[in-house]
Amino acid sequence: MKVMFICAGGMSTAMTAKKLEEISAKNDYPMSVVAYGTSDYETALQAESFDIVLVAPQIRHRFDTVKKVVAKYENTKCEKIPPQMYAPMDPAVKKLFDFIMDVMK
Amino acid sequence: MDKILNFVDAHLAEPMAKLSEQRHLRAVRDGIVSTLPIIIVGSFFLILAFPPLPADTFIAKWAAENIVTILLPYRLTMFIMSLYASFGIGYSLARSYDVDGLSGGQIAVVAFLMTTTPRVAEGLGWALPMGLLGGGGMFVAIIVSLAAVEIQRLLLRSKFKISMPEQVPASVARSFENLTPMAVVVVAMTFISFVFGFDWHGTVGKIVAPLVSTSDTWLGVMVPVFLITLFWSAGIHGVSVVGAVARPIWTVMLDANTAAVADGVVGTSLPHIAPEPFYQWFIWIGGSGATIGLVILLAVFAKAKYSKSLGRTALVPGIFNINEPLVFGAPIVLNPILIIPFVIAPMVMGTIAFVATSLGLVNRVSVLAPWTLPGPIGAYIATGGDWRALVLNVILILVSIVIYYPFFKIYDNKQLELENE
Repeated sequence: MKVMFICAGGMSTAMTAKKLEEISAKNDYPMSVVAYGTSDYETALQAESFDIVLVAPQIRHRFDTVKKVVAKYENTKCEKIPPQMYAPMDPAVKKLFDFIMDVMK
Repeated sequence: MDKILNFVDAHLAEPMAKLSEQRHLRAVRDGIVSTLPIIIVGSFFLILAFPPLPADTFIAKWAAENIVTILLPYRLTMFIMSLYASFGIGYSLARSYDVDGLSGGQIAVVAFLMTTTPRVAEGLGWALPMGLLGGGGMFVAIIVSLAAVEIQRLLLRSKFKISMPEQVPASVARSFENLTPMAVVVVAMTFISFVFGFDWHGTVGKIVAPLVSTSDTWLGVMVPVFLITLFWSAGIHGVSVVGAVARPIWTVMLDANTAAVADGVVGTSLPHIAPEPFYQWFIWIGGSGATIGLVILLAVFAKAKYSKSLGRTALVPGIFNINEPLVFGAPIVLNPILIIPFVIAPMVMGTIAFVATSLGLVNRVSVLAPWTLPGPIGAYIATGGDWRALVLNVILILVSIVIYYPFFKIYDNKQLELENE
């Protein structure tokens, strides 16, 4: 599964992205996770297809804008990352993994 | 306390953050942010021109002799940054209307350039007054760029647009479509600027002057600092919300300081105290909320397992001013204990730095250094290589540790209790 994270600059999500790749591999459902900033995610969406786009909680006020862009891509879902699942550490990222699996069901 | 926090989140932070997503504010924000690489690279030439070395060293002598040439890259980048911002603002606004971004950027630049009057300079031919294209012209750039793209959009939606048959390639069709909007903008600007002789820069400058001078006071620093930490306390990216409104002013102030350095003014007598790098290197050390103190305490002194592993995870990003792991991991968001130092530490540090800067104990900021540099190094570069700024940054880190300490203790003990249960 291909996952895209979006935060302001793509830097803080990069850490959570890496951790999610680890956790998902451990759970026998490897995900490829990439992080982008709000200024460059559109180009990335045009270039590749993603299964789900997740918006970081600190820019949740931009969720509507992002959602409109993602809506152009039929097979891509768009969700907010719940704040308690947004930290590059074990319990939080495992919850995030379960959350994604739940959304993609 | 929980009630207050939830109230702030639901009724203040979210709606205000949504407001910052307003189309025009967003276009201004994205347009100016898109010029950051130009500003960062351009301002670095100032360090090269005024190396932080004794005047009798070889490099310092070489720089002094070649200063005009060394500063040319700066003159053509940061010195005329409003020109680049104008394109970015026009591009972003056009994109938000699903209008072609390239034509939006172009029409904005045309409108902005037509607020200036080129003249024949002896031996040069036609010349533009470059000073007006810099930070001083930022607000004029914002106004005319937004207006030009609005005109473009309205005309493209109206029946006046020139449409091409479908067989014509898209790029050709687009340039024809934009004929009418371009003509209207050019003719309108000709009348306003050259026929009626409206003084764009003088008029807008007079309106904006009080905004700039207010932002450069102690209260003008405390208000955005408080708002930014308040937003982050609700888990919203405070700088991106507050910056949408404040960044044009911060940018104008930084440009004035940089221009003064290029003119040879000494670092302690530059015009402004508080352009954005002031916040970055003397307040947001370790990230918004000046969390460097907390992350050091967690990494070094934590007793609970969770605090310790959080500290270790968040320390390295924290050194580079990224603190989302901490903000959402501790969490600080909606956490009544940690929010207190998260709001207070930046205000105390900002006050100390403001006093130190206004007393001339450290250079005022003039260089835009990448925000992911570790605090002391960033402070050194941002002040044009002033070692006293480095010392101030280290002192402020200690202040952050002291302010966070009691709250860190409460937090750590609570985690310990939870783990022993």
